[in-house]
Amino acid sequence: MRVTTFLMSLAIAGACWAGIRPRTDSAEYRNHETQHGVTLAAERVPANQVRNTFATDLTRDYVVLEIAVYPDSGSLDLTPLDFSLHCGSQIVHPGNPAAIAARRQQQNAPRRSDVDIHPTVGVGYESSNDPYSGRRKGVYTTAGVDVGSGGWNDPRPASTDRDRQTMQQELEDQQLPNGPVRAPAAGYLYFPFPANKQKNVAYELEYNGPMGRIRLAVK
Amino acid sequence: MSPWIKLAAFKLAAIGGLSVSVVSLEAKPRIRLSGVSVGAGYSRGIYPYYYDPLFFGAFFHPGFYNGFSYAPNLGEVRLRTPEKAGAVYLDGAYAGELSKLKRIWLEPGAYNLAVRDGDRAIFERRIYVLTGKTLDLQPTERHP
Repeated sequence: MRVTTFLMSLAIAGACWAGIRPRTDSAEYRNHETQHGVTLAAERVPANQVRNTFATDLTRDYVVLEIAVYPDSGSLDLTPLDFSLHCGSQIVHPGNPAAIAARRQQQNAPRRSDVDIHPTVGVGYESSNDPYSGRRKGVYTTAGVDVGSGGWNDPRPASTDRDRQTMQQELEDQQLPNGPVRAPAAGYLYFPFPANKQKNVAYELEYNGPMGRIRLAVK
Repeated sequence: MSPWIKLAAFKLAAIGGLSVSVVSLEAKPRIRLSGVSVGAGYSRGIYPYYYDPLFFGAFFHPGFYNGFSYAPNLGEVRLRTPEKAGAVYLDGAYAGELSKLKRIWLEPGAYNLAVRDGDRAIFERRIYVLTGKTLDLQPTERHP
């Protein structure tokens, strides 16, 4: 019984940890819409803010949206799969943190064509007794340049399995909560850039869940 | 299909010999400076013993004589703050004084970083450290 209670409390703590703190009012977001007893608020996170917020590099391939949901009453069953991003005729769904992390790790992994350069210099003092040549002491210097290929040397940034796990954890921790929500909840969703991405393109977020369908222009 | 590029990789050790290897590569190469080792050392011993620069040169042991001045498997956390007072805590454990911990090298992973001045929390944040990446933090601002 105690074990069950402990596990339940852990699960609740885990659920509370997911996502980020929602703003006090949905009007604090640049875009918000109330329909079917739920208020949906969202705004696009600028690239420089994405760089400061996430250790994972998302700016190249993903549109990051900060999304908040304010249920007027009752419970709302949230899942990221209920959201999609419309860009003209294209529709994209949010990326899965595990898949994003794996992709990033793969992109950062060393390639056969990589070239690493590692110069080394050193100076030291040596003192020794040699029965054949007598006492030897003096300063010695060392220098060298190491050039290698194929990522033989140090691991590349964010390329190890531990990095992949960390990136996945970061994205999951800050993702919009997944599950029943009674109070306001917020988090990020990571949408892959639609094909032929352009600057200043108009995005429209669509929520299509148990509470109905809500469309919201996102700036 | 990208053209084949032939790259000669030269390995030089000043105290040792010279070896040259040629490899064929098919993708556009990315070049990076993987590190620089500079240092000093002291040794004292009795000869004779087997010595071969091939095994004992700085080329094969960057940092062997001069200490491991940089840590290739770690990520860096920089704490940029004008504040001098305060203690840094990592996952609840005391890490050191803020005035002396401007740079922290950590294993990749998620940590709870807190800066406290006595009982007053100056800064609290969950941080994610990745290999070879630098995380810039300004502990004067509060973060959820």
